[in-house]
Amino acid sequence: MSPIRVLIADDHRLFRQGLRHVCQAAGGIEVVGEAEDGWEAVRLAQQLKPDVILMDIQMPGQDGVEATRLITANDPPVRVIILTMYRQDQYVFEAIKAGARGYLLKDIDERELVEAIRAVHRGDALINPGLAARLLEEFRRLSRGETTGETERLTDGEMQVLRLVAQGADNKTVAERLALSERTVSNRLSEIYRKLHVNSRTQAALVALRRGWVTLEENQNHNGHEGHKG
Amino acid sequence: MTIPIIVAILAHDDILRRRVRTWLEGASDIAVVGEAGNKQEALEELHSWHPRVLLADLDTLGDSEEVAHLLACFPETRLIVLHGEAEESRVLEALQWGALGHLAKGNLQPEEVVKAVRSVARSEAFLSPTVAGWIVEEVARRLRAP
Repeated sequence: MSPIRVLIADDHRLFRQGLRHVCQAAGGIEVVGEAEDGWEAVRLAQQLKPDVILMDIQMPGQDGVEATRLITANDPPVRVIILTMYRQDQYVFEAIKAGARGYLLKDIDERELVEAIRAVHRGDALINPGLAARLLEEFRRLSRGETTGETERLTDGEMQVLRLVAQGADNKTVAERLALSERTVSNRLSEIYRKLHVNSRTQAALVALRRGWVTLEENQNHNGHEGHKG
Repeated sequence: MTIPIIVAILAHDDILRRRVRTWLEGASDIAVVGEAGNKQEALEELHSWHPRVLLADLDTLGDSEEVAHLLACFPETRLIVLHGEAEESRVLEALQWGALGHLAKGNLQPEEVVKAVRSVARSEAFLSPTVAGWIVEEVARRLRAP
C-alpha cells in the first residue's frame, strides 16, 4: 500500500520537526512538505497534492482556517486536520465549516495523531472528545432546524459591546469605554440578543463565555485579547 | 480516594450485561450500581440508582424517542448506546436525541468500554471515527447552508 502523503503547516519550526519525526516513525506515512504560513500551505497543497494536511490555526499571513477553506474548495479529497491550542467552540465550528475533517489539540500524544491521520485518510473524522461533545450539541440544534450564533455572526462592534457586558459593565460604562452613545450600545445589545437567541445580558455573557469569546481570566484582567497563541 | 463513576447497565441479553459488568468492575474508578433487563425495570430503578453513566442496548431501549424521554427524566445521566453493525441511522438518531457515546456490540473490547464510560462521565463525546465523520459532514453541510 502506498504511504499516506502528509503536508505539515505550522509557523513553529521545532513543532514541525516534531510532527515530521512522529509521522516518519509511524510507518506508512510520508511527510512530503512543510509550510510556515497559510499562503504557503495553499501553494504547497496545489503543488504537492498531499493526502492529509496537518494545519495550525494561528499563523502569520493567512490563518489555517482560511487556508483550509481554500484548499478543500479547490481539491475536496485533501483531508485537513486542524492541530491547535484553541479549545473554543467557535474555532471548531469555523474549521469544520471550512472543510476540516479533524480537530485536535496540540496536547495529544503520538499514537492519537497517527490514528487521526489514518482515520481522516480513509474518510472518517477525529475531533477532540471534549469539543466533539459541543459538536454533538450543535448537530442536535441544527437537526432541529434552529439557527445558531455560528450561522449569524456578531459584527466587531457588537463583539466589543458583548465583551464589556460579559465583564459586568452597564450600558453607561460600555458607552464611555467605546466612545459610543448609550442609545447605540442599547441598539447593539438588542442585535446581540436577537442573534444569540437570548433575552438578558446575563444570558448573553454566558454564551460569550461558553463559546470562548471571553475568558474568566480576561474578565479579571480587563484585557481585550481573544484566546491565546495556537 | 476519589468518588467512583456510578454506572448502570440496560440490556435484555444476560450474557452481554454480565460481560460488560465484569469489565467495568475491573476498573477501580467505576462502580456498577445495578443492571436491568428491560426498559420498565430500568425506569423504575434509575430513580434510586442515580447513575452518572447508563450503558443501554438500543434494542432494549427502543426507539429514539425513548432515548429523549429517558434523558429528560435523568438529566445528570450520560448515555452510551450499544448497537449492532450497520445501524448507522439508529446511532445518529440516538446521538441526536441526547446520547453522548456509542459502542458497537459486535467487537466490544474491555478497555474500550471503560474508556467510553470515563469519557462520557467527563461530559466528553465518545464517537467512532466513522460516526464522527458523518457528524462532521452533516454539521458542515448545515453550517454552509444559506
